[in-house]
Amino acid sequence: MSDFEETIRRLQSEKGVVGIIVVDSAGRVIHSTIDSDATQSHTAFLQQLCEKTKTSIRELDSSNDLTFLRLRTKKNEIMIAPDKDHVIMVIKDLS
Amino acid sequence: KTQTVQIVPPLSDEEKYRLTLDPEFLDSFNRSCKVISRALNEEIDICINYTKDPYEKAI
Repeated sequence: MSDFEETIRRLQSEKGVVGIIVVDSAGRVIHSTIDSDATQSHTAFLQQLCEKTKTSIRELDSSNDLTFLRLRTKKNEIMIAPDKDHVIMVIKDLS
Repeated sequence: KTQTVQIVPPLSDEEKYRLTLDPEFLDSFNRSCKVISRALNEEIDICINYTKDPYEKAI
């Protein structure tokens, strides 16, 4: 098993984790642990949200940048870690 | 205002595979995963609801 697969596997075994999506800077899926329809919709919306947040942060202070985005919803928690050439999205079930 | 929709062709399996072996990619990927892992393991629930009826069995 490659280092990449090993890391994904470890992250997926964390309590409550229901999905992991890794996309490149252009929003193209590199890896996903959920079905393709859910991957497509999550990627489209979360990528948009992440970009919007990034812009907002930079507008407020041009020397600042987004490093981690954590969302609490009624049903789950979504974590988005943006980096230079990839974005990792993790969905955790709260129930 | 019209919006132009950019269509990016998906990565091929070959491209995905090559990327996951790139040391530079792996380095930043592992760093991000560590942050997520720490966030996932945080014990404190900031949204805990203390006003919940204590006699209500169902959670």
